[in-house]
Amino acid sequence: MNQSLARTGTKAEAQSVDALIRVDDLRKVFKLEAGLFASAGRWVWAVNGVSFAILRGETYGLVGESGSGKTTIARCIVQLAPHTSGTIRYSPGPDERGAGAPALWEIDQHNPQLLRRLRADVKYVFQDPSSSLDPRMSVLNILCAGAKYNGQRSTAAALKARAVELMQAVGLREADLQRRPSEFSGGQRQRISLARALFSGPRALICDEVVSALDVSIQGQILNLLADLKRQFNLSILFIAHDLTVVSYMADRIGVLYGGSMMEEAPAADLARTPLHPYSQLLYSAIPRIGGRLPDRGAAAGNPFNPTRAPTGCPFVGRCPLEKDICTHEKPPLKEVSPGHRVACHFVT
Amino acid sequence: MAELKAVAAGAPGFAGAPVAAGAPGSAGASRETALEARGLTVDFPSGDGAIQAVRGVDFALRRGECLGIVGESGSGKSVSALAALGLLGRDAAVKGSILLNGQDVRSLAPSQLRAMRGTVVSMIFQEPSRSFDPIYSIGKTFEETLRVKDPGMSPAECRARAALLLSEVHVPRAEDRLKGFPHQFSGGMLQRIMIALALANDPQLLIADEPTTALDVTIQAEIVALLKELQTRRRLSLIFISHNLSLVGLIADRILVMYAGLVVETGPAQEVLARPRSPYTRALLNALPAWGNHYSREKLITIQGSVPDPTRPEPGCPFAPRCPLAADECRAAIPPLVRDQDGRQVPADAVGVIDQTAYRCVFPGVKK
Repeated sequence: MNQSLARTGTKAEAQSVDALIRVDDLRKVFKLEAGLFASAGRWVWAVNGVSFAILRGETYGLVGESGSGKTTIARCIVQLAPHTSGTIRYSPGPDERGAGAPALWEIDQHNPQLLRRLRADVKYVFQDPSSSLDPRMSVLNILCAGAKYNGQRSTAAALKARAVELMQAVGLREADLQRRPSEFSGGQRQRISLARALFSGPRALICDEVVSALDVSIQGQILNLLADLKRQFNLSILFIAHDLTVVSYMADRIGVLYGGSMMEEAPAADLARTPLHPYSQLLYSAIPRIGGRLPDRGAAAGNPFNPTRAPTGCPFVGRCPLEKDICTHEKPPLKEVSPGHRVACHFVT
Repeated sequence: MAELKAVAAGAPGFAGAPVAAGAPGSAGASRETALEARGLTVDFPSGDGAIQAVRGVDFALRRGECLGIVGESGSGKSVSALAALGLLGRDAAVKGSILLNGQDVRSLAPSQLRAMRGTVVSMIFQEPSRSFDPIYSIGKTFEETLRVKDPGMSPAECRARAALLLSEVHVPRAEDRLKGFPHQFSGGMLQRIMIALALANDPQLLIADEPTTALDVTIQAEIVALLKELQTRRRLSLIFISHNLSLVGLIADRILVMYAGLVVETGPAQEVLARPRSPYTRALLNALPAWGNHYSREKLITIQGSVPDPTRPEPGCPFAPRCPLAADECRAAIPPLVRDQDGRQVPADAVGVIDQTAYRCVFPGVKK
């Protein structure tokens, strides 16, 4: 199934034990709704066979341009969008809430008990806090809303106490609980989103572009906060962003996505030092740097991946400087080139 | 190609408004200054008292140069640019003067202003997909724009001119693309088309307001490279507005750093980036992770707090509440814009800060 993990032998076994969430050969195809009659037979191939694992306690970064499938993968994990094929496995590990639960759950949209558990354990934090917080609710109600559905009865006082605790954890005050989202700045709203996500005591956060809507001076605050929360609450994080610099700062391991496929996966330090895939190199070269130069024109030119055509071969065909015939009809497997560093390219070894 | 040549030769200002005729202080300066703002203030009325969006800004842009305006949201960078085009709503209280080719924009009649937009000064916006009318084809949009200047242009002429413009911004298969509608293009492609539209009537000054913020990083690099190329080829004066200091560093000749409606630092781009004097500029440079940093090893040096409330500005330096160096004198009064001379601070020239390295801080360059 999972070539990359199978290839590493004993390491794969170790990973399967350590992995909180394991995604194998994930595929997601959307039907293109272009009108009542026009939609027949038109599809968007959003995710085309992606495998990776989020280890317990690690921050896994997904980076790629818009349309690379990073958000779709995240939405599949929490089943906001049911996946088309492949498996997503969740292993909560032993603890008081895990009693009686299987060690490894296969995530499936038709298992409501599992979904409830999953959605309490894996929380999604969205990009734009101003559109993901209900403007009519007080912060207290926003934080406690999820608790109504977790099946446990808690007293109002207990909920309030939990809310106060979390407000302090994210750097806000108890008095802020009575205010509404519009009274806060963008950075403060993102803090509220984080407090809401932490309310159920999750094991993992999915942070989908959580800083890209924020001002530069605020982004750093939120990144620092996220690192603190991770330590304090012992979290695993799926950190999604288009900014390679931010991802390489925040993540322990990074997966580079393009056209719904994993192009490269490596420990953050390795990827920062030696991005090997031509696409990773393109992303790297596009980062504006002080004292840097403008890229040569045409560096990123060419035909971007078209998700409405059934994928054959490497998705980076059309933009790749190394492209040869083989690339158009044979999709390169994700091969390990050094420990933990995998690249999907016919010409990178 | 004839059109392109006309631009290169330096197309005159808009018809009926002789450049620099008798405008105060414009003699000499106007020849090389494309845009100049003096003591610009903009207030917006609001329930809680006026929002002071711009609080006395001076800047000047030399012809053919690129001025980068950097600041966070609410710093007044976009409002300053909109004021330069007379695009602010009627309820905005604008004071000070904005000289475009030596002519005060604020003294112009609405019809004169309209005649100037697109032909003398043009603007491109942040989100290209929201700036196009979805029911107009690209060709139709070009037609409308081109006929502003030349109402008698035939459809065939419009198409030919539009195709030429599209190829200038490197849109492939330009002729075919004119039949397309905005939703059929990617964000990067739409931004190219918007740039072509902005240049359709050969303006001398282009204002790009966060033109790449909504785009992917690879596309961002392409768009910035394109703007630089066009600036050189067309001898455009360019104002590039962004919150990303390193991005601005790639394209701008000079930089204006704004905070809470005030200029906090200005100077040649490389100078400002290499030796930032204002603690705010330094903080902006440090706020984002450097390449190779990792959360497990070092925390980011962040700017505490958030931008001040624009309806109730504090009396002192607007950055003082967040500044690691702030002392009592910073909170007492807004520090004046100064420059260094022989190791001392002297007041910056009020007007024509062009070529000047000036900053607003009592403790410049002090490392905490």
